[in-house]
Amino acid sequence: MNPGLFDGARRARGAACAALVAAVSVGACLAADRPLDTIPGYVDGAPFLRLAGDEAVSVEVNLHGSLLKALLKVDEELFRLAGGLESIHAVILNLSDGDERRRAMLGQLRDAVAATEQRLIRTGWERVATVKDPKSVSKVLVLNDQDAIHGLVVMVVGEEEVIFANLAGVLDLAAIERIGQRFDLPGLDQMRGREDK
Amino acid sequence: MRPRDEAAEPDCARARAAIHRQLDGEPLEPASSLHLAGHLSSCASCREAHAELRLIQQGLHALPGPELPAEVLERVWERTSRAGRTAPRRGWLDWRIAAAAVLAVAAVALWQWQRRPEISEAELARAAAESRLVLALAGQALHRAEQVAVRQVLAEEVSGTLRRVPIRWSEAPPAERRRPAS
Repeated sequence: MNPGLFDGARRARGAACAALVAAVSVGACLAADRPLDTIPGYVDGAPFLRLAGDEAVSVEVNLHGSLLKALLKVDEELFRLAGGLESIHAVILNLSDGDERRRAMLGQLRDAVAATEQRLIRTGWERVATVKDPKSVSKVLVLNDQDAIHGLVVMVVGEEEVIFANLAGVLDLAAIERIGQRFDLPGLDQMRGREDK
Repeated sequence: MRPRDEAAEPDCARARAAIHRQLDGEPLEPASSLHLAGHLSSCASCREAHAELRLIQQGLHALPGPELPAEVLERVWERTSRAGRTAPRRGWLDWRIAAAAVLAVAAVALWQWQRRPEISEAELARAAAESRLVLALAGQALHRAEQVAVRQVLAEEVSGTLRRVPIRWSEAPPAERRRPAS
């Protein structure tokens, strides 16, 4: 009896198990989108939503997975400028309708922004800018390694508006900045074109 | 042992064959058993042959069996136990199982992929607008950060972290602008 036959059978069983694991992994990848919490630059904006409540939400954006992939396939300009995006999330809270309860919420939202900033810095994010003016405070944080920028968080606390935005994926900040200069957005006047005091 | 010619009679031949089968441990049919008993009672030659053969068999059984060396027994054991584990068809069975698993998973994945809901034009249009809104918002924040960074560069307050901000000079770089004209 050839003793090598036993090793051969063992190798065959090992290869069979490896093929099975690989097949399951590939199948799982094909069948499901990548979970959000496994994307390195993803930050959950849910705490702001929970704090402010649904009535205060003027804009909520959640784009990821198959919808974002489909969008990047059909929108060539977006693909050219931000083809490495894996998720886009934003919450814009409007506190301007005179509701005293909502105005009182502004202090809590400021605290939430500060807590989020501290948490991100503790987990390896870098604060690239804090812009203060009499009516608003803007904070910009990035998650980067030696090769690329993987996440961007923008948080703006104004007198009547709080903004949380998160982009995750491989990002080109210069290209994103070009997009910002191209589009004219209502509600962002406190950030645009105002000189620092 | 008797000469062969004494056993040449058909009855004797039949009885001798039955004797050998019986001594070998084979069960005799009832008819053969009756015939043998009857024949032995009437045929002295066959009775004597039967007794001799039985004596020889008992003598052989009484001989001590040869002792096999331990290593020989070990080799025989290893080979017989390996033979059970290394049936060549087993490997092929593994590959068939793996191939079937791959096909099954691929089929499930294809089924899942095909049953994904189609993304409508309206959904894509809304996603495009939302993505541009968020990208523009982020871009404007970066632009604002850039303006701050430029001012800090001009004020010579730049820090390492600010180098992350993508500064683009729309005109001549400030350093050159600040340099007095020669």
